[in-house]
Amino acid sequence: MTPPYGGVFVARSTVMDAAQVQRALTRISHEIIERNRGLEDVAVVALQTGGVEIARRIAHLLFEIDGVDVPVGTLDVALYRDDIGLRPVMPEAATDIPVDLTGKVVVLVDDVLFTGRTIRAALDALTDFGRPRAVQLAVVIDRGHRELPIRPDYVGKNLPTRRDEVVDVNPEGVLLGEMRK
Amino acid sequence: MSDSTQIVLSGGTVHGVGPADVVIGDGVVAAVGPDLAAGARDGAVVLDATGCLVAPGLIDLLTDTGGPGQQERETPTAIRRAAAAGGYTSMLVTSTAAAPIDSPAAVAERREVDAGPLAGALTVGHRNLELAPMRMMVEAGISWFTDGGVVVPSADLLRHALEYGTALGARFALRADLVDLGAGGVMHEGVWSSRLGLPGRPEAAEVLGVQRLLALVELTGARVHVHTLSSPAAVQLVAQARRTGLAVTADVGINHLLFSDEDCAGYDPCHRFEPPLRPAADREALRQAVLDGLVDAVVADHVPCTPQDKELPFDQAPPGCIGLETTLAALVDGCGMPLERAVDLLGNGPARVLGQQARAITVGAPADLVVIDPTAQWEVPHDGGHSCSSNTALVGRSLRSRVRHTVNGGRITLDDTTVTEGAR
Amino acid sequence: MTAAFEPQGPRHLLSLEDIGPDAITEILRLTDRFVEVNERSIPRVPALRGKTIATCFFEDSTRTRMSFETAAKRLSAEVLNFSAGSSSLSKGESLRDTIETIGAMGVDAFVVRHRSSGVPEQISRWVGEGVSVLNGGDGWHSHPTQGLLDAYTLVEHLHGGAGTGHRLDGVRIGIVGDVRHSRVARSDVTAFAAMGAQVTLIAPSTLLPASLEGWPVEVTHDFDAILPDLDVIALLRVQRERLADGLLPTMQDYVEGYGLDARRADLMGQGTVIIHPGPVVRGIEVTSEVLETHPRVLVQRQVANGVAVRMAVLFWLLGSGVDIT
Repeated sequence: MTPPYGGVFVARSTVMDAAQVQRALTRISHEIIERNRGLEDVAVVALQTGGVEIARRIAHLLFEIDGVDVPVGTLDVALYRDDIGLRPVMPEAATDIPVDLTGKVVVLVDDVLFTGRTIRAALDALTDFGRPRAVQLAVVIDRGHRELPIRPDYVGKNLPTRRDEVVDVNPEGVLLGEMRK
Repeated sequence: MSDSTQIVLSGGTVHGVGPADVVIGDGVVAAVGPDLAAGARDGAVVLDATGCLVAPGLIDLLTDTGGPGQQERETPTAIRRAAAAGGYTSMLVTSTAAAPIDSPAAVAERREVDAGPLAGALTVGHRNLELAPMRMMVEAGISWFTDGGVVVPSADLLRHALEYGTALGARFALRADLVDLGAGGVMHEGVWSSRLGLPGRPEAAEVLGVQRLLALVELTGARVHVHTLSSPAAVQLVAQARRTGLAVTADVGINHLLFSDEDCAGYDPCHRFEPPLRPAADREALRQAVLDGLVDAVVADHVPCTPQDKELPFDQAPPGCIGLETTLAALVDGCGMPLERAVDLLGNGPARVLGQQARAITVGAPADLVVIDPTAQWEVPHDGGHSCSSNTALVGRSLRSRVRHTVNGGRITLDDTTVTEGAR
Repeated sequence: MTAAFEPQGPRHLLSLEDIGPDAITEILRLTDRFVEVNERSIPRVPALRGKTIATCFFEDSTRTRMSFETAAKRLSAEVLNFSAGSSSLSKGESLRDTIETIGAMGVDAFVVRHRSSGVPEQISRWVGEGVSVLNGGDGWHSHPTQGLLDAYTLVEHLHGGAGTGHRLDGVRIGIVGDVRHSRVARSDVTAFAAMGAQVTLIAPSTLLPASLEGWPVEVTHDFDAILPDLDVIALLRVQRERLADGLLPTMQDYVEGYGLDARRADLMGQGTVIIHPGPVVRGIEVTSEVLETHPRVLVQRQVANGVAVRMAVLFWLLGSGVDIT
């Protein structure tokens, strides 16, 4: 969740509790292995900052299920956003891609999929790290309101929301609420 | 309007007299007393002076009026209009390096455009190599000689100039400086020049310059007026010399009473002056010295510059600002000087320096008068006012105290803050 | 996402004193991101695509100008170069006219270098709404990106990067050379002090500013005495012109007192590093021997970091939309 204008998050309802999130991630991990017929050539890239913890958990689950240690990288797309200069944008966290992505199947991981602009920026950024064979997208929550033709390959939960609502994914679960100044 | 039109300044307080009206006719003061407006002639012009101080017109020393070839900076019309707006009825016009008055021909040429007394150049072209033809210029009516702000570096040349001119009865208006101490400096050498990364000139340069000048005055017996002192130490030296009997006078420019070297932060070349602005503590001491009567006069230090000049880097821009229109208000409101004191420092002070009698507003006195409203609030316009140039560091500043009317030689040149002075 | 948001970004970078220690820290933190970009095989991000940056170098400096140009290009901005040397800056034209002419071409930022102090600040008053001015070095006054890259290089050397909490607290830095005429020195002092370092100026008195009142520094004229206690030696250039000005008797006299030669290198502490803004005048501020053989000369890192720091600054001014000051 990246609040556009700042303020304090006020929760209104719990969408998923911690146990439900864990089950969803386990299912997603199985789907990744099945879809790619194993984990050879798979690399996980987490979007800063919301996807980092999720990606770590998925990588752990992949290892538990299949015994393979997939490379995990992090990507801060601030420098690739198409709304630079229109809203506060600061590259807050590290971009660290430890392997050449050429020929790999990159699984991008983020917490919430919303307009799709972050993912577009991520696709742009990925090309600077090699030429992946394929890019797949895993998210915990798809909240709708897409502005670009982007769709997730692996979804924890589809959650219809109003535009002004905010979705927060944290270790305790997934909350739906709003920003108060 | 002809000189025989009667003018009545009605409802004001007359400087040195008290509440009274003033009647003007035929170029002189005809009457001073209460309730004179009622008895005025038909066709008399009554100027409202309610709440105002009526004082002798202001006199500026060593005004840079532009001169031949300098129309971009200043024209004769513009300078007269600016003077009228500022309450000035007379100026000692200075020769400058840009427009030197250094020969009888130059004197004649300048007389065509500038009405007031002229200060001629000490050296030809102010190049400080050879003396100007002082005898011929004295014969052409020049009684004052100046270095035009370009201080003579050679002590010998300066001495000879003082001796030669003194024998002719001339007087001198000079800046005091030791030019090769801190040569290349563009502001006061100190905390601020170090922070701003600009080369500075130490205050010692002015102090040494004054010491040199005073020693030469003693040596030659010359009558010297020291122009635009900026350091309290230098002012003390001059005051001290006067007490021992030396015929020296001194003035301080309004800018050195208003601003300090800290104002150079921002690198606006409108804060570049010669001599440079001094630290705030010096400025306070200078104001005190002026209040204590150690200085004979305060001057506008009017130096017009084109916008292109002032859009140069700070260290390349020529120094100086225009000032005729704002000096009075700046002295009263900007420096906290009481109005009655201010009009003396801007009026009779310069008069005494020029060797004139102090002017009183009495029957028969020349009708050079200024009517000042001490409560009027006004904003310094962005175009600088009536001068051709707009280089003022006071742009947009709101000042309290304004000249309402100016009468020059019996003619109204400023009527209710509107300049009526036209081209001659 | 509506268009109601007004970018509140900083408009100009004229001096480090202007922007304050918090902004300095933030820019150094941002530099880490761009160091990473520069290490990629294709060191480029589209962050400033569509922006035009004009370099106006009234005082020539190929190295610094190229560093800015590289930084701008790696951010995908367009670059227009104007320099006095190439006569694209007309001598007769006034400063303001020149800037307004270039600005009319649609420029988002000016990087200005001039031999007169204060010119970038004067220019900042003439540029259009939304146009940024970045000081590339003005007279003796300020060289903000040099101060930043010097500080970054030291923090990187000590901590590996400039992340939160990575500072120079207690680090003893000696700045040696012509401080009086050095914009690098002034910017270094501000940057180092903002990161918590203890700074000492080391120079003959004629090469120190007239007044150091308010500067966060100590001063000494005795290099040898302080040398063993320094963690960092920041060398400044000393120009031959100073002899003509009468500020120094001979260069040899200067070198005797302040030149970093092999003898002085032996007095240095373990782990002490040497930095220099370049170009180095060998044999004056430092000998070739020391420059080439001392293990901790960080000049190459300074040059590499210079591009990253300039990318960070350009992004901060033109892309971030964040008011950090």
